[in-house]
Amino acid sequence: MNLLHVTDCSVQIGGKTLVQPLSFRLGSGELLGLIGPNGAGKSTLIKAIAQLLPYQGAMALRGAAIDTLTAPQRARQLAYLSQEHSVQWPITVQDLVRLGRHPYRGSWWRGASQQNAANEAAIAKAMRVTDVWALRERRLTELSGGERARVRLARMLAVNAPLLLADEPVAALDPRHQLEVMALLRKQCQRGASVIVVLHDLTLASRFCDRLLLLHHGELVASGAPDAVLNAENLRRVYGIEAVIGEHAQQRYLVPWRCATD
Amino acid sequence: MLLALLLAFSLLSLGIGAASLDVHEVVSGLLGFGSESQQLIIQQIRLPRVVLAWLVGAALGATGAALQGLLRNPLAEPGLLGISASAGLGAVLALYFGVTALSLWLLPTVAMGFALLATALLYALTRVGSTNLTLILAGVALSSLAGALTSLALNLAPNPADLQDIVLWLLGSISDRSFADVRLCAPFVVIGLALLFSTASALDVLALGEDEAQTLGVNLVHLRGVIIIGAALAIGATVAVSGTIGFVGLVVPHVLRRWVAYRSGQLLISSALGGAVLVLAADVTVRLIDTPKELMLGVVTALIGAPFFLALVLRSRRNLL
Repeated sequence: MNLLHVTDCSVQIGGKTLVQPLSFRLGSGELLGLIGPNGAGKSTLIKAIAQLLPYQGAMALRGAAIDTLTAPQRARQLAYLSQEHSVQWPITVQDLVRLGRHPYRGSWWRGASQQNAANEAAIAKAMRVTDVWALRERRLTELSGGERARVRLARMLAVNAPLLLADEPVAALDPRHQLEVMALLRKQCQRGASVIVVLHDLTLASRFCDRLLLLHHGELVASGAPDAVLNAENLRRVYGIEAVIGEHAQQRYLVPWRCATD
Repeated sequence: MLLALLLAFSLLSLGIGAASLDVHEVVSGLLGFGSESQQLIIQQIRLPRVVLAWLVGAALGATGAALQGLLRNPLAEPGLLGISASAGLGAVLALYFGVTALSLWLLPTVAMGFALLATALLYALTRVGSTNLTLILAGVALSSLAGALTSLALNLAPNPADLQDIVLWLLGSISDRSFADVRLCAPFVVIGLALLFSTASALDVLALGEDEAQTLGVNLVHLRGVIIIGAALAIGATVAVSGTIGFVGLVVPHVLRRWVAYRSGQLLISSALGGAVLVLAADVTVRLIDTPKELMLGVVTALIGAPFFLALVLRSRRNLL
């Protein structure tokens, strides 16, 4: 069963084509990685999927065209984590995670208490899954980069959306926190959610993703299983690098090694 | 807490003046007991001033909180977007061309018209380039323009009497106002405040940034429109009856923010109350200080607010580095 169906979608901004027409499907429980060098159009594409940028073409979520959904409907179906890490005010962790329930806020005159109970349950669950429950009274500005990344993830999970979109969630994190975040996204897929994640780290991409889309100058140049996409030819042509490819515990791993020489 | 402060300052404000009254006399005067002269002083002279302080303060405080939440910038305030300056320009032009001689109501109407004009312009600009930076820059440009045109009017003022009118207007004050002034600005302030309060939950979500807020169902174009129109109504109407009173919209949300755990939505109502308290307190101070000529309210708030603003800028710069 496909959750997301993208058909011939392209993004143009100011007369410049940032993403060439491309099509792909995202299955339920699938972890899809968007990779490519800087400026390849990864963030542009994920923003278009999040309906933050205008695009040409069609996107369907569970068979229904995304742009026919109302804003609250859409807000419950897809959760998006942006690349920027700035939260302006030093609000508490639980207040931040609670914002993920905005699409579900009950009307104060009817059903509010029932909805509140559901909201609190979702907030608590999201904080436990991401292991930030103990931090709930702390202010965001007091947290380390790794803790803050987990809190932002908790905010995204609190939405309880079937489609999760994360733009470079592991940027600027240490290796342990990178692995934690990726394992967490993996776990969401096992629970039935589908995840699209923008990644720069090819080692993580090959280790955790079910499938990869490789973008280059706004064009989809390869898609498929990590082993197939991250081959020597693509790495040289798109990234201009050579990589060491090995195997550990029946899984292929990849380490970028040096710049390719023409 | 804020309500108690508001009540206390209101009673104080009703009590002090040329004829000093105690709490008992104030309350009985309000309720229609006591001597006729006391009732007259309380109900016709001092009450309008108090109610006006509530309205002006609430409008400035809530607008400041809403703009700071919208722009995610603790330095934002009504003055920043040029709304106050434009309303002030409207008032100055009305005084300059002497239309106030035709009808007292023309002065406030022109001020509100200019605030709305500024708003419409800002709104049109933000629809083209849709970042908050565009909005701030447009506001700065607008307030410089309004300031320049106001100076031009002062520069070309034909006679000294006009000049004095204009200068006094710009200083900002709520003394010698009647219930006619209150009636004129109250409906617009109330509608403006209602519009601003309606954005509370969306403002909370905006703490996550514009992109994430949008994916949570916040309609940014709509939100900006509601806040700009609400701000224009509230600020235009209050500038019309009180002149430009600066810095209340900056100081109040900033002081109260930690009390509401930094949630922008919660801050709206408390800033409205806090603004009312601050304007009342400043007005009481103005009347208590014994100067040959009564100090203007706008002068006092600027004297307190400007150093505060500078300190804030220095501190936020240090945080950024």
